[in-house]
Amino acid sequence: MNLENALRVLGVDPKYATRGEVKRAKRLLERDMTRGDNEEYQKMINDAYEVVSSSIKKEDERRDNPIFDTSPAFQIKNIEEQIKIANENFMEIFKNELNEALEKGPFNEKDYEAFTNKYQTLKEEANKKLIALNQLKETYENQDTILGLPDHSLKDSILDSVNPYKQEKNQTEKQLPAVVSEKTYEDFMIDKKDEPVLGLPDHSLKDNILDSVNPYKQKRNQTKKQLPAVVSEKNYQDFMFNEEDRGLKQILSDLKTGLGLKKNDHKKLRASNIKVASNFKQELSSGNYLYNVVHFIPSIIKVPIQLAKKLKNSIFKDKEANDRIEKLKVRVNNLSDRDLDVIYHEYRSSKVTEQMAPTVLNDLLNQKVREYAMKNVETLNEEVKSSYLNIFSSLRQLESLDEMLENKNINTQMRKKLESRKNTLLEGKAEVIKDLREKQVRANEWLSSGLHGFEEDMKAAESKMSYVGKRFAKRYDDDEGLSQKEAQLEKEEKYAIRTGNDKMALKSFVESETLLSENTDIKNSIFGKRSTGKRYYSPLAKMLDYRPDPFVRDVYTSAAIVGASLATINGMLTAKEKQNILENQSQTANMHNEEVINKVNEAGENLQAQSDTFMKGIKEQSNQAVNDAAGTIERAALDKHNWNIGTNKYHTADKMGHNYYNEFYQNTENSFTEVMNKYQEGTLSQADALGAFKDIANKTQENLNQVYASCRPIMEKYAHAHSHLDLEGTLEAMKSLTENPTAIMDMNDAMINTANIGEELTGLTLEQVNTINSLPSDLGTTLLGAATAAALAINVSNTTSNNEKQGKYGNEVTQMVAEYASSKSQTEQQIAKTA
Amino acid sequence: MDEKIVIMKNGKEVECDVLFTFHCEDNGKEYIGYTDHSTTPDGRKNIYTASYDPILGTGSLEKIETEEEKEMIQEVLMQINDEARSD
Repeated sequence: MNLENALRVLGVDPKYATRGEVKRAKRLLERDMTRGDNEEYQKMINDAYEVVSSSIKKEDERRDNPIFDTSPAFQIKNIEEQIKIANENFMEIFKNELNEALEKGPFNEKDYEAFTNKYQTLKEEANKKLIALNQLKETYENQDTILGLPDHSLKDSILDSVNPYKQEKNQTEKQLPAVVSEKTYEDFMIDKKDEPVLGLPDHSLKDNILDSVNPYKQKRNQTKKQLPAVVSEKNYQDFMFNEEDRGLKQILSDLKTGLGLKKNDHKKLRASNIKVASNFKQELSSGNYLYNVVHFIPSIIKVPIQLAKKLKNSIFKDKEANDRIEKLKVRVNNLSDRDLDVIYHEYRSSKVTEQMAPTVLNDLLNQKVREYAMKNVETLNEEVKSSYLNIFSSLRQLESLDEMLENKNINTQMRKKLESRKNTLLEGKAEVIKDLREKQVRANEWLSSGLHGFEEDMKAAESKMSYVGKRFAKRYDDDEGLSQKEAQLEKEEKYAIRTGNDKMALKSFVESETLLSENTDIKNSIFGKRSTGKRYYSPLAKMLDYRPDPFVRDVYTSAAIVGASLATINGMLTAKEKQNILENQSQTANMHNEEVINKVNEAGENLQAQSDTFMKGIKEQSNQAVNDAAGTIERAALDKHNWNIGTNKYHTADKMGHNYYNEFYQNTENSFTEVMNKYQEGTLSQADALGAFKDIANKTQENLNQVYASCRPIMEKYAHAHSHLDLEGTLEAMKSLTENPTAIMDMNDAMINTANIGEELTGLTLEQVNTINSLPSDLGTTLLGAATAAALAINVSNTTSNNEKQGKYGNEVTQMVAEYASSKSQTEQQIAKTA
Repeated sequence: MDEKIVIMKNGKEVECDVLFTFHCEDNGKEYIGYTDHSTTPDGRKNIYTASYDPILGTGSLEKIETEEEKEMIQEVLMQINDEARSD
């Protein structure tokens, strides 16, 4: 037996036997050499052993022997051959069986079973080999590329470490090819078809399609490849420009083009209503004069008030600048909503700095974009308002339906209808509320965009110079309980919206809104409305800015309170002195002192309560004026009739009375003048001066009252006896004055109290104070002016109430919620009472 | 009859002629130019300018301080001059 036979005995094709199989064959031979059972068999084994033994010795031969070739390609080939042999064997056997079947006839069951058992083994072995082959192919395919596996003949090649067939000592189980790691696989195995290595074309390919696009391929006489032609400007404009491509820079360019805006256009002060003295014009037209313009203020002694009357009108024309700005205004006003949207979103922060646009353009854009933003806010506010109406009207109906359903006497059919109606009302409420909240956020985003907007909001809220009623609002320590309750309701509302729970969403929303409303408290104050609650309910978005609170403006443009005091002073002082005093007062006023503000508001509430006093006093003062006029008429009538009517006694009394009155009036006037001088000299403060005026006025009034009281009976008799004299008005006035002797004095007291408050409030703008100066300045009417001013305070308070009704200081949403909260509270109280 | 303004100059009351007035829309002020007919050493007639608050009245004049105001006054004078010469 030789080695080849020994291998065949083991079922191994000698051509493809591995080293391990050779060793097994050798051991088989050695083993069988000792057997003595079968001489022929023994002889075969012995022969095989000799062969194997001699074969193993030849190491070099083995190395070159294809039997020991362990390269993947060789292995693949080996397995393919084995499969082929197996298939051939199988076919041979099958053919024999088929012939046998044709001779003997169809298989019976026993035959079939024998057939199956015989070939199953072969089949399984073939399958195993096929699997191994496929694995090898996957692992070692394309090994003949430049980055493929190294030559199998290399000793100690890198493949040895991954060679699954490399047998170590004590290795028993034949290992399948190791799964090559992804990294290793990708490093080595590149699909030639899909991806050329390193992007270079296959070296074996010539004149293929790659050459035609390879920019580095040089051919003889080939000119330099040209880059794609630059598209001409004409082409660019023809098919590149599109309305949708109109961006911020285009918009700004269109606004500025052709105007030649100057850097100082925004600073240009423009004159109008120019009036020129005729003499001056004549001088100018003569051309004989040169002028030196001097900007300084000499000490003014006397200045005519109505200066403008005598001068001729002229119209100032700075044509160039005005034209530029007017054209720019037209362009800005004609910006489309789309353009404004672009400017609003993009023209901010660093973009503004980048463009370095003329200030006049920025000023106009600021105004225009502000209007655009407010338009969007108003639209959103209207939609929010509509949603609130929807929600609260549904709420009312739902509550009515619940009440009806509580009635046990309603039949099933009615109950079903009511339930159905309830469901209809509830349906979609979560979505409505979600939409409402989103719109509130968007509206606020329009008003307050970006970080700068956020900071400005905080500043405005902190300074309280933001929105209605908040300027003198009361501050509180933080109420954690309220915040937590708000947070809980918010969480429930969001949850309900997310899960589409209409009923829960409605409940949470309403509770949240009423909680805000209940913690909002607006009280009347000297300034109109004043917020004193822990929260300020404002469901509609409102702009925050630094302009004066409209409540305050309403009060002081009516020349109230402060006007009452300053009107008194105004008539007594020279213009310059007055100006200095007012300026000093505005510098020293401290409006942020909480105590002062509280005191002012308390006084304001007192003032409101004293409205009747003021009206009575004004009425009586009117009566007094009537009385004075009637007195004049009376005297004229008497003079006309030559005082022939009446007795000498009356005459004497009358004359004495008039003398007394005149003297008394003169004394009063002197007293006023004395106080005025002291105030001017600075020896009296304004409050002291006002107090002194009040005392004089009251003393005067007291005296007058005494005169009226003593003269009235005489006058009554006289009037009856002289019916041709119309003394009825006088009698009525005297009667009223004597019946209400303290009316005017009470009014004076009240005015002084409010005027003292006014002193504390003189930190207001000069514009507000200026209205006082338009009042007449003579003494007699000054007091009347003060009284009028005080009355105006009452009117202002009424005005603010009217404005509130018109929605100026609140709106129908806040009122709706407040009414609901109030009615809810009342219902709960009633329920508590009946319980 | 042209309007007059009386000033105190060097301890004496001096009567001045008001030459022009105008209104500025941008700052809401009124401006006045007047002269006491005094002249500079080189023979130029002095025109004094000032502003005043229309509500407070001309009893209190304010100094012209900003360049924009000076520029505006200059332009007004130029215009008045042009109109006077063209009449």
